[in-house]
Amino acid sequence: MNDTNVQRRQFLKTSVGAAAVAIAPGMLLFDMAHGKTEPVSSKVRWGMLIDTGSCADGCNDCVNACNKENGLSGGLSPTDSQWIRKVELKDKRSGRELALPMMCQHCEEPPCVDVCPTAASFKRADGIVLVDKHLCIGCRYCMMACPYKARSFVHEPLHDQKPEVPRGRGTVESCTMCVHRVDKGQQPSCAEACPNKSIMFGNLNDPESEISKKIRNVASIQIRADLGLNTGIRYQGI
Amino acid sequence: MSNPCKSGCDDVLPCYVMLAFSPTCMVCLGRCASRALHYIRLADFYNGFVKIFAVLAVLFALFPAQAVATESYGMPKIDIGKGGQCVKDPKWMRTNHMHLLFEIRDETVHKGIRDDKLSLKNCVECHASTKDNSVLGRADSFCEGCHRYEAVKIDCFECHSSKRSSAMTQKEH
Repeated sequence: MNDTNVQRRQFLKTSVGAAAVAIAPGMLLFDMAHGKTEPVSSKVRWGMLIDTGSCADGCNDCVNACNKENGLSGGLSPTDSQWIRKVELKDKRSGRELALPMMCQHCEEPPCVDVCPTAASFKRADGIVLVDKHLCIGCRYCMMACPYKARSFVHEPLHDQKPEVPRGRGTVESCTMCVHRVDKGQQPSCAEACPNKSIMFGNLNDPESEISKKIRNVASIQIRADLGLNTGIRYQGI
Repeated sequence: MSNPCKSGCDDVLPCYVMLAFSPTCMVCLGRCASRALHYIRLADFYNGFVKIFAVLAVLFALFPAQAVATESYGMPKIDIGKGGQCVKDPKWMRTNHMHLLFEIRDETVHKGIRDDKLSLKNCVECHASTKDNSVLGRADSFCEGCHRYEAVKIDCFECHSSKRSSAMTQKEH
């Protein structure tokens, strides 16, 4: 074999290798950029465990993070939307005080879904309770049905909504468990923002998940468990 | 003054034949127009519409048919932003984008299927104007321009963001 041929072969080899290196990440990115094409399944049930013991009194980080993530005004007037709020409790006999974040409890048997006349209020297969605002007529039955006062009605026209979180006048809304983040594999923004890691988010159906292990080991309750709604949010230390 | 008409404005020949010989002769043109009017008026009685169809067919053959089919007179000039085709060709999208949007919105909201390509956010991302990062607000905006022309109200952006999301995140940081 003469010298030119060897050189030519070497050149071809290197150029093919370089081309592969150049194209491969692009193809990988293309695959990743395609998004999630599988529907959510009931094999997963998203839930939260909130440790009221480490939830600091006066801290509002989860509320602020929620407002920022979802483009809420953060106002407290009766016509302002509140998706999560800090509730302060005091036992008068013992004088024990505690604070906890309160939001949509993402029930397994949600009363809001039962009463909705247009099926706008619905539960996703993975347990997240949402409002389909395309169907919502703003009747507010769900607000009355909810035992947790979790839902808000949008009274005024809105501008500059977040691209990920469409919100509009005349519809009811509530905590979505940051469904747009969960679908990307991220945590809800309140859980991420908590400085004491008091909010643990995870899959209740997976016995090996961190949240399931903790629920097995520590005492936790559902609020208004007597209603038999089987909420997805559990509280520890109440 | 000599008559430029090659067919001699001869009433014996059918008017469209005369016109074919001498398209510039005003007399023939006038006669042809009056004959056409005559046919339209008597269409029900004389099946004159068959002849009108024949004339129209000739017209369509003479003028580029494509221009007639995809662009109508007075269509607004639209600022397509970054533009480019990613879902289907523009003609298909012009007719069917609303059905596609309805379909993907239900898939996304109820089933959590978030195809990055087929999403309203992605449409806005490419098609928002490069001047104001929006698909609304001006007579040549990508969504509003056509919807104004067609007099169809858009509900999408009462809730959804009409701004390019990458531009919004840049503003935040």
